[in-house]
Amino acid sequence: MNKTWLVLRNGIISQVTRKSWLLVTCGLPVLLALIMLVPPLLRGNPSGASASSEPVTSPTVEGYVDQSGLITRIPDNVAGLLRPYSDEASARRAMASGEISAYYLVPADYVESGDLAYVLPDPKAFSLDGQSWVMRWVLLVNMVGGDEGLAQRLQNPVNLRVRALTPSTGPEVGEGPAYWIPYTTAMILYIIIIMSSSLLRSSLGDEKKNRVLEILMVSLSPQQILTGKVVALAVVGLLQTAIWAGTGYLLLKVAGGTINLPPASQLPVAVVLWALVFFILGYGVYASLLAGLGALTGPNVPGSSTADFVIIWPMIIPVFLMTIIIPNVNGLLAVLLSLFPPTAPVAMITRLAVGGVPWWQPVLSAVLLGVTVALVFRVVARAFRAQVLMSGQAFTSRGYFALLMGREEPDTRSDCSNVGLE
Amino acid sequence: MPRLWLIAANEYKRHVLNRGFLFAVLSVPLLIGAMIGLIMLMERMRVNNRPVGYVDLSGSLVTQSDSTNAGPVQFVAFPSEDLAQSALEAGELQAYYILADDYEQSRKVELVFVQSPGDNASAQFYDFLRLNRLHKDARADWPLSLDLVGRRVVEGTFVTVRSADGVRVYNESYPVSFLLPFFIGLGFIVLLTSTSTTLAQAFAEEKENRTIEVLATSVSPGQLVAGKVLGISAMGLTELGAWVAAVSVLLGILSRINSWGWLAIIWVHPRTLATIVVVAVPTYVMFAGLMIALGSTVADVQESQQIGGVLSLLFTLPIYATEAMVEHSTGSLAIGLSLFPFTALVSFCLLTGFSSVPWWQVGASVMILTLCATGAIWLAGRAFRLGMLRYGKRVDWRELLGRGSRVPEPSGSPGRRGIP
Repeated sequence: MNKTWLVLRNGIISQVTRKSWLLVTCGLPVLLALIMLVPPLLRGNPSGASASSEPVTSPTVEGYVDQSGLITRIPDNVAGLLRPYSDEASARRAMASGEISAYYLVPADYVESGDLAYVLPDPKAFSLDGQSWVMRWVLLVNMVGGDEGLAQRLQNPVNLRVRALTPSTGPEVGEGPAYWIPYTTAMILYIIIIMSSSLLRSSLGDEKKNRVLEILMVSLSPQQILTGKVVALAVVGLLQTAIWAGTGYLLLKVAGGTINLPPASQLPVAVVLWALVFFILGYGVYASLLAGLGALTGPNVPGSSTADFVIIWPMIIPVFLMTIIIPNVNGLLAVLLSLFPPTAPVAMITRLAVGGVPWWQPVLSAVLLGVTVALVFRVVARAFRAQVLMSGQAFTSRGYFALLMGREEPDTRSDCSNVGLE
Repeated sequence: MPRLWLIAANEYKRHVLNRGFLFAVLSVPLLIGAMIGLIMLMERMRVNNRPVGYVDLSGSLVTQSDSTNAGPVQFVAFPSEDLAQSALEAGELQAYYILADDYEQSRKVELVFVQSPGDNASAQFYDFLRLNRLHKDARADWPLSLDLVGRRVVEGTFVTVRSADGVRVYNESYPVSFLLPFFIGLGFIVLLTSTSTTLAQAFAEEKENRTIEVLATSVSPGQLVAGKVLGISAMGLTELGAWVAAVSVLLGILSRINSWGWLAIIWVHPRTLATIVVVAVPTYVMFAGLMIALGSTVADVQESQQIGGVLSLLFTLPIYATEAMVEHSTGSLAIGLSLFPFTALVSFCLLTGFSSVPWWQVGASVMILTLCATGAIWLAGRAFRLGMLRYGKRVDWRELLGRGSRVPEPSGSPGRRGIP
């Protein structure tokens, strides 16, 4: 137990004092701050508000060329905003001289095709609509013989109220905060698990490369090394997350925005606690598997990235299917993914963040994940000693998975190799 | 000369003829295919063609006819809400609407459902209301027939936005064309990062396992560097070509199955394409030079990956400021990022696709990039000569730039880990 503690302490200290860890931990908030604060300052908008929330500019005068002959009158509310031109060349000249800010070209077959060209001196992809509502309105009014009341009713036929006959009175799922809150929660969990597991893989890879593992094996059992390393990197991962979350909170404060989220956008405490449980369990599974891979391959050998991908892939599945899981939180696919241990951490936390999950499902999922962690941990620890003897051996994904299944490949027993014998 | 090609061919074969490369080539079309499949599935899930009921308390709707409801969803009239609710609970309807008794004045409508109705059902009901209104209020003095007006009201207006010079065309129905420069830019970034990081790794790896010492006895540094650059660039082009071919085949098959007409009108202006290419070529040379310098100066492969990763991240920096750059294309942020060599390529992909960029800006950027590329090649040659025999030891950047001492300190020679 004492030796495990030593491994744990050493794991934490060696990670948090690494230049690369400090760079990523401190660099990301700095980058975030730059992204949040610099563009608004350069735009002369220090409040940090995005372009879309800037005050709407007053309407400008635009031109039009009506080849369809449909436009006979301009409604009063847009009178003065449109100027007719007989052909496109004169409209273009007027735009070039600054007389009008843009022009429309209504083709002869507009009524049949519905096509309308909107010509601007320098259209921007994020504000393509521009003032085109003016011409849409004019065309609609002219189609119904100038009846503006009717045109208004055609534009907006209802003043809608919605009543759901479902037992739960929660917010409508799949839209707005009800969509991005579960999505963000699951993505954060996914990133933390992957990041911490990858750190462990890299740490064991380095020790494999330096042959420190071989020396450690003399005085420590594989379980002691693995337990110490896995717990240490979990602590490091959580510490990094806490620093990022804290900095994010501070940045929001400094940027002038107070965190005043509507009730629908706030996560219940229970979900946060479940997220912690599923982080620990999910990390247990993936960190153990990647630790085994790191100990086998070292930091980087050809072919090991394929095995990395094969190991991580199950956790990506719920990320891909989130758009299906969120609107159908108790659907068959969502339930299956949240109970199947490799996909459970992300899938279950997505469902919990949406709400309405029967209480027994997260409990069952956590139990299944716990059993998986114990099994994976045991298998990886057993494979550890054999991996150390394979120093310098060419890596194959098949060999690694065979080792995990307790079947050593014939060539893994050859203890000398081209690189191993220096 | 033959030795140069020998190195290039060996480097190409080493990276292309393995399962990892095949996996990388297949993963992109598979990923895109999976994403398209997911989007199609989502779209299908949003469609629900089951009947929708309505209770018209205002008595303002005309009887449903073919002219007021041509869509796949059938609208069923109910005399009272109780009957509509019974039908909903029995599963005969996906939802029902109640038109308030003062609907004519207030336009109040209530939607009742157990599970949200399909997007298509809601849209079709609104059209149903619009067409009803048209039928009720139609006048003989309208310039168009009722059918034509109805069609235009339901289908709407398709606005095509274009720039005065005709270089940029944005069709709201087919956004792929105006997103194309962005995708081309992403393709270049992938090509750039994959080949450049492979270059850095190749040099660091051979330095680490001391192959470079053996090679240096029979080939000149120039041949070695040029051979590796050619081989790895060919690998990158093979990868990109395979992705383009695989994605084209995939899209071709999908468009045939789904009758996607928009694929036939994907278009990018030659000027846009030319701008991206003239910026991409010196960017690639510059990045390759820097990566060779990096691979030759670092102590091991892992270090080259870490630093290479940070440099690659710099390339994508403009993406985080897309909106600010595009909406203010003449602002200091857009000009600064388009002139800064590491961010120029992505900046121009965004600016040419989503906004406009003056010629002087392109010219200035290409000039800066060409100067930087020349400097990077000089740096690569120098780093290679200084670093190739230093096993397990970094080359100091001051030494590389000719400012520090050229004589390695005694403890570093031949290297701590150099003695077997």
